[in-house]
Amino acid sequence: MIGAGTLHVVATELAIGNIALAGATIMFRLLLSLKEETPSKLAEILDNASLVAAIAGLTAIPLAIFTGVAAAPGDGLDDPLLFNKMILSWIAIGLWGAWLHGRLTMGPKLWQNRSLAWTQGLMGMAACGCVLTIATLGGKFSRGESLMGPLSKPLEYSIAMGTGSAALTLIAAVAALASVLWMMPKPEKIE
Amino acid sequence: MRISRILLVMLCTLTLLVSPSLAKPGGQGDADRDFSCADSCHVGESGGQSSATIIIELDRTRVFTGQTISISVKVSGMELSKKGLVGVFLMTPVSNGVGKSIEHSGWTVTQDPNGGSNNFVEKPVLSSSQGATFTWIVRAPSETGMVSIDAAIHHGIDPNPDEIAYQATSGQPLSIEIEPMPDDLPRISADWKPVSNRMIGELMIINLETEDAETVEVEWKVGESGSVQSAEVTQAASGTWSFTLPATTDEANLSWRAMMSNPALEETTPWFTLSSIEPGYDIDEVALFMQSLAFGLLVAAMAIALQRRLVSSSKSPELAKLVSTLPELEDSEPTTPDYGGEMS
Repeated sequence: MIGAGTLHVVATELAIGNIALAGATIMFRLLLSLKEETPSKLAEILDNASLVAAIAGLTAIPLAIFTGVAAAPGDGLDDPLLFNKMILSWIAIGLWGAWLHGRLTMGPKLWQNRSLAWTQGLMGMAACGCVLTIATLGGKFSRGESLMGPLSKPLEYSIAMGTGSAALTLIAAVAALASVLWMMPKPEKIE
Repeated sequence: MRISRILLVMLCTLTLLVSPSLAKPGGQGDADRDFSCADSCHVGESGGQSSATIIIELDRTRVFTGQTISISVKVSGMELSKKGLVGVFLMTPVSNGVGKSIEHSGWTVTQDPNGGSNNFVEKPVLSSSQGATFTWIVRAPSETGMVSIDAAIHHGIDPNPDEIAYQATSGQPLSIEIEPMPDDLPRISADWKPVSNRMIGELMIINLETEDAETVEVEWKVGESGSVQSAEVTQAASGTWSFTLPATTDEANLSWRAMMSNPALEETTPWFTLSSIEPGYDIDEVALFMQSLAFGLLVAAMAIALQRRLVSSSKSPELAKLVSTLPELEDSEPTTPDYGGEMS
């Protein structure tokens, strides 16, 4: 029988590896889009690599979440670090989901539009930063040390909502996402 | 293009240059551990020699079978890592490179320095010269005879470029003669376990189980140097004594001991430690999942809204016209303003 802790290690390594690759390729793709008028071969490779890595990473994040919850010591998520890991994980899923949505609906030519390239690039890097922060919190929780050093101190505290407030926020969030998806004009593939 | 390739090569080189760390600056955690290179040293070179001075002391001169006593290990003069974390083993003397947990020679750890029941514990040490004292409360073996106990230290150093652990043993194992327990010696029941933690602000009622004790008195103090106070003890049942320890307002340690007696003999227990801790972090997991999911969806909604807004703005004819004029302004030659007159 393989323990949840072992599966969590596998899932996090899959997620972190893919997300780190996606973050790096997005950063370089953004730099190229600021320099090049027409995309080079390298730009196309970076774009494709970021897309594949983001899809793989996004698939692995929920696995990491569920194995992480199962592997948490004690009675459930009884630590603010685990609480913040959970919150950041879902924020990362939201950001990666939006990044993929943009990239798949607008196509690779979005990088040729400066404002869209900036948005897409910064969004991808923010999502990558989110996942890397989650990874450092894992180190803080299990080994008491974090790559973020003293910057991780605020993440030792959390603001937890009650069940009622959380349910209301969830309804508002679903309504907001539904409004954006159905009421705002859908972007077309950029040619 | 060229800059991007250079950046890519630099990133790859940096990634290859950063070697994985083998050190454990956060410590290994309290546990029942044997002192050996397989367990306590780092991979590769087998660690450095610690400069620590280790002194093992007993709280009494005679030890009887099954008696509850305290063993203190004073460590000082060791190198300290950035976090100052120092681990100490209470163990059998090293044989063939291995010092087994003290429990392998019949001792039972009743309370370790951190309130657990482990033979290896870690504590932060502020000053190398002042050092620290690690005190275990243990129950002596049930067999009579000579036994030896030893202690070892395990710590880091700052800086520690080779990422190795520093360790040492006391060099002078303590030999203890375990004598047969006198008849009717008042003592703590073998099954009784001390409570080590409670919440801040919480009174603590302790039910002490004894054997051959006709009277019990309890003393307590705050920290190591607080004034010693007496607690009121009531006999709940035959061999069971109840007393209340006061609440503390912060994470202070409170120590207590019992003086048991019968007409023939008297016995004083070691100082037990009762720590006050902050209430645990408690959260409803359903609320957490809803809150996390809500934040994720909100972030996605905001990000997608921003994308769509930008796409629609870039298709706006007014904006397109404005943008198309920018390169012309940038590329145009600076001209001399025409004031409409001619110099004559």
